[in-house]
Amino acid sequence: MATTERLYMRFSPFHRVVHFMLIVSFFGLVLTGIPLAFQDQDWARWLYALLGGYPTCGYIHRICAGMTFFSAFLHFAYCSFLVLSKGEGAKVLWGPESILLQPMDVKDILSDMKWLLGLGPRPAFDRWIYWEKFEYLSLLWGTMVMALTGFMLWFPTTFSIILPGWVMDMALIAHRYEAILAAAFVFTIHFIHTHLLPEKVPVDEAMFTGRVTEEEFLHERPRHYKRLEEAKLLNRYRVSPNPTLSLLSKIIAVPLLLIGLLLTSLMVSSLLVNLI
Amino acid sequence: MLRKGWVGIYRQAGLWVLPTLFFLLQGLATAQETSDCMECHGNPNKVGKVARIDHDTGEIKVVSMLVDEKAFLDSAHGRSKEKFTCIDCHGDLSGVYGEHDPLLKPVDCITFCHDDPAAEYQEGSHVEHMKEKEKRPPTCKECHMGVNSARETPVKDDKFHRAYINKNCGNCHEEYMYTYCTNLHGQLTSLGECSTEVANCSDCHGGHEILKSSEPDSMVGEKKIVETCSKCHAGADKNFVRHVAHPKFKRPELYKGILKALGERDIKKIALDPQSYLMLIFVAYMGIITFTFSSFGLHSLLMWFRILQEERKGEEGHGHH
Repeated sequence: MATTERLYMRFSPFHRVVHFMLIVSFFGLVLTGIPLAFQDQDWARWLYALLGGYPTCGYIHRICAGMTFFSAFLHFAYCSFLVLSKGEGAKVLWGPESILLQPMDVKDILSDMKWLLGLGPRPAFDRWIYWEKFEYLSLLWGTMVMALTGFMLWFPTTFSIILPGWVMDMALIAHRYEAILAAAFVFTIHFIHTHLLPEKVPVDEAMFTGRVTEEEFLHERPRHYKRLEEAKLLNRYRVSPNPTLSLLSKIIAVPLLLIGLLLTSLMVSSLLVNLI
Repeated sequence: MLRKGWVGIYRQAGLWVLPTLFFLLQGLATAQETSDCMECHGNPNKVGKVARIDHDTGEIKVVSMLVDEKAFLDSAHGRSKEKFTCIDCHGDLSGVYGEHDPLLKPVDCITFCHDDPAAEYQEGSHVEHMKEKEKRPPTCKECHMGVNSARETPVKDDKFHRAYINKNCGNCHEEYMYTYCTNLHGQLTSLGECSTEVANCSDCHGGHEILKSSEPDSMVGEKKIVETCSKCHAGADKNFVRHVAHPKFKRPELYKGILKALGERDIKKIALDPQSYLMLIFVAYMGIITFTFSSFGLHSLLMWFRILQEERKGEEGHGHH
């Protein structure tokens, strides 16, 4: 069955490599950073010591931060290239191919609400579903906040040339809660939206293999499919299966999912314990 | 002859007997080495655990009389060039061999050896303040002693000692300990990093002479704070030291204070306090986090539920064909 199924390329190797770099650096950042925010918990002390303690964790954290910046740089370089090349690529800023919010998304959100409440059919989405757009935009926003506040905490004496010392304390608070927000968001909402839905569990391989089946494509993004079909572009996206990548993606993604979920449950339980 | 004889006796006494007696008495004391004490105190068959009442706190503790000689030799006193022995501190045992009175006098650290920091300490505002409040100021031992062995006096930079100091200050200054742990220095200390790389209480506030921050001579006071921060942060300046070392955004006192100032229409007081801005960003993030997880969480849950529902119904087209 799987051999006869048509596969389409959803993510180019570039997207997959950058996403993989983000995964590695994100996990490095979270694992070496989150213990600081939960310093009074035994699991945090254990985790911090496990990863080398001070100052090793700090070095890992900075190296991973560098990797995140590099991914961001690659992403923006790629986007600039697409926009400046003016071909099909210029559509990344506006229209159905764009990951930025469009007027169409308002309609999509409303019809999705209806579906969620059982009042209407499942809406037909285009290339990027509105919650994917939110996730993308919050990633951009989060990376900017984390980079700015992170640099302030890295070089406090340099920033205090122009800013009073307490701005660095504000940076620490922003860095901490943005981190908790980002980690918990990725490990719950992003994981559920992409990997843990009943139709995908345990892992949606699209971001690792780059491939989606025709059935998935039609089910999730019918408007995109039809747009490509009408423009007679669909065949350009046809690809052959890659079982090695598929297996690799399962081997890598499942442990990461488990680590993320475990860490979230530890964070949430610590929060509840502290409230009581 | 007779006279000569007496002179001889005096002479003998002056030249030999008295110095010998003196030497013997002195010798008794100085010849008493640590090893003499260790004969019993190093042998678990000869000494065991006994109950002791702490001279200062009145607490009853079960203390082992066994002495870890290695721990002593690694400690500040053991490492000293002066080669201290047991009786240098436990002076009432000088010249006493064999079994001795189980209740020794408290060790006097100050009179002969450490009178210098002691005077500074006893006249400092920390002790003064405690006396005013009719509280017993900590003794030398309470800060300078290790936990594992009551005989250990670790050196100042020792990690173990530094961890102990933080805990000790926190025992009384609970609120400050809590707010310290809200900041980066305290977070790292709390995670177990106790080396001199991360500032602990006494790195900023001093040891023997602790003055209130409002006093200009205090290490965290106006005059000296730049110097204090510069010990670790090269290039720290007037701007840098406006850092909030004890952020209170998780403490109810801060919110009460702000509400009170609001009630008095004292906006200036709120606006001039950096704690207010820390609180603002904290409250803003709590809002963002609550909103994000309640909206996206609900969305994910509903989606999960709906997909399961549709799968169960076995719908084919999902409505869009």
